[in-house]
Amino acid sequence: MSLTASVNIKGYIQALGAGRVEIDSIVFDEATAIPTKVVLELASGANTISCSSSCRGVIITNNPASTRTKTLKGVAGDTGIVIASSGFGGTFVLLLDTVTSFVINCSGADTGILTEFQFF
Amino acid sequence: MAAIPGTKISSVYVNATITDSLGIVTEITSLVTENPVAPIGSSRIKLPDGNNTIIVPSGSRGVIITFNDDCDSFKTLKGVAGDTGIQVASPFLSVRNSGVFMLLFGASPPASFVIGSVLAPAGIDPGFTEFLFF
Repeated sequence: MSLTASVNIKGYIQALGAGRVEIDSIVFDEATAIPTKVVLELASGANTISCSSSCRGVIITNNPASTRTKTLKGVAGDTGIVIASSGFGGTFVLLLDTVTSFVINCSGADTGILTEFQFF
Repeated sequence: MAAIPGTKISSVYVNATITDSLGIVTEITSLVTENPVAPIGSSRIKLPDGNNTIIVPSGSRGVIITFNDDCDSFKTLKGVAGDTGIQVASPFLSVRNSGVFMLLFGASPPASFVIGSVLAPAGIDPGFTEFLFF
């Protein structure tokens, strides 16, 4: 059985009276996917997320119920990019190319709240 | 959801189908991320070698980044130029040169982020990279 993944991003952008732009990205097909799902209760500080160097990406879901600020980094010492804060979570897709780990820094322990990582 | 005058509203979600080694199919249709004050912002550029600072329009909730099929450089996503970052694409022969991904931001979007691009020999990436802020 082959391991496959097809991922795309859908949605729309609409302005008052200016019509609606549909978002339907190219479908990202990965014929050699490494499907693994990891669900974590993030600890305070740097959380190193390990992955197979063969995987091509990860779908990350930050629970909007979390009150923590989360920062995506390559390594713990990076400045990184804030990807979630109190009440602002959600699902996004990150491409990974020969990456064996990355870091999610959490501003405090996310007690009882789970963050999902679906690798592909 | 109603847009505030002078802005757009956006609504974005992720759709995925993943099949594992047992043939078990995982269908993902994520929760929708909505933004009532979405900016009007997209750009399509051929990245030059080095650290490319991408300015984030105020009010952005996220960005969809697309590397088209002609892209041929190593690309690394960073918060700032000095970061190690996360490698997201590599040259054409790796078959990992193209693709689409998406970032979400917190309540206050960053002023910018960085895409490091390394082409061998050094030059401008022949493919377009598109940024659609929402």
